Amino acid sequence: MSINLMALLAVAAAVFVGINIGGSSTGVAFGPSVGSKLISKTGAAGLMAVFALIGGWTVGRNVIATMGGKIVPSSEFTMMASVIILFFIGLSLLISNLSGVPASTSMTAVGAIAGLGVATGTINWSVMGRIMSWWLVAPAVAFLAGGMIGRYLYTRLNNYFKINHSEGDLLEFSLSTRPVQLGENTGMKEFVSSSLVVIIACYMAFSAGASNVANAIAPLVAGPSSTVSMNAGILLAVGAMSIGGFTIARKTLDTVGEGLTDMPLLAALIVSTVSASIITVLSAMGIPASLAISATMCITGLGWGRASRTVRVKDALQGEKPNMSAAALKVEDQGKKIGEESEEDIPDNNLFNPHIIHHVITFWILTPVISAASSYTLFRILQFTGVM
Amino acid sequence: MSCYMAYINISYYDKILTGILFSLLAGGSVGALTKISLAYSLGAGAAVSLILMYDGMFRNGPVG
Repeated sequence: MSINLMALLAVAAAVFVGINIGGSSTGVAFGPSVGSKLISKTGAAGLMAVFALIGGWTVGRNVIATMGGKIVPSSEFTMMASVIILFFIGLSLLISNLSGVPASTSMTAVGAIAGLGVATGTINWSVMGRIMSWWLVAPAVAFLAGGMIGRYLYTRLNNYFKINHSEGDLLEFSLSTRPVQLGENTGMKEFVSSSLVVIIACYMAFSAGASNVANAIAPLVAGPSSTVSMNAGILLAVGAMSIGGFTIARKTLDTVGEGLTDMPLLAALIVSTVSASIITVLSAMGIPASLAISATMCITGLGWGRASRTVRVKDALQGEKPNMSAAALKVEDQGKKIGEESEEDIPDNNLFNPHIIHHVITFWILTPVISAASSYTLFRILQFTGVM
Repeated sequence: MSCYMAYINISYYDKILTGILFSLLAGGSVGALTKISLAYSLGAGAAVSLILMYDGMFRNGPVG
């Protein structure tokens, strides 16, 4: 195959990956805002494009530097190697879309690059070890934050933070001396909390851009024969993600009842803030990490912490276990303290089934391992047959 | 005696959370104060907290 065709294929693969990432992360970031009718889908896609660009342009380059030159030297990213790695990332996105389990794009990408590194004997194990170490830290911190908030703060926060939507527009615009005013029925509290929902969604979009831009273009930008500069690569990745945001995300945003959208708004905001912060910090350090895993562990911690409040003295003595469910988060606070709440205070809904958590965790441990193993095998075969 | 028992049982989840917090803090301090890399020391702390999470979620979890 000529080098030009290979280069074209690499760009096409990067765009495919970018579109898919954009579709899913727009859904995750703006699900709560669109679900509570604060902004339109088009507005969500527009904000996604802007904030993913800011995240990718600033913090995201550190991740590109790691994936494109620190795990394996950038000289290893030949056009063919780049296409193969992008193929594995695209494949995992496809499988995760079909199976409905959110696979971690970052972990798949790192796994595929590590496979290349082992096959060519160029992997930097020290960098790899540090990345994997952070992969343990991120979910632990996310669970801790969720658990603390769920057990000690959630009911109190829920009292402060009630979004009651009034009729009519949130803001009114006119050509008077005060061009922007609160809508006829909008209270100040509603305005502040609604704005917060959108601001946090933008923060999530920022972190998604920071961590995901590398997944789409790191191999492309890194190669020795690459003609794509870092800046051009970031623009390409964000452009593709925006296409996903304006197209695929319309469908993702429709599927209410999935993930964050199904949660009470307050819980979704806590989870978004915690996971976006974790990913932003890691991306700034150049560590590729999964937004989906941090978010899920935070949700898990929140549900666990909230459900743990229902253990009563009598039951605790008898060794009875309380019910753990997502619905625990939906309970309106009645000012009860830990141990005073009963299971009846929590409507029955088993979103946080430990079996499902178990399943998801297994899937996530498997994804990078399978990706690394298949990438290693393929690169060995190519070496053996003399193609590489 | 029963009061004591009740205290122990109710505070089980507090202890799990405190344990996770302290193992992460310990990992972070080792990384910050010694020559051991922060990534590895925090990772070790996180490994301990994953065991605690397993205990709190799957072994003694508030499981339906």
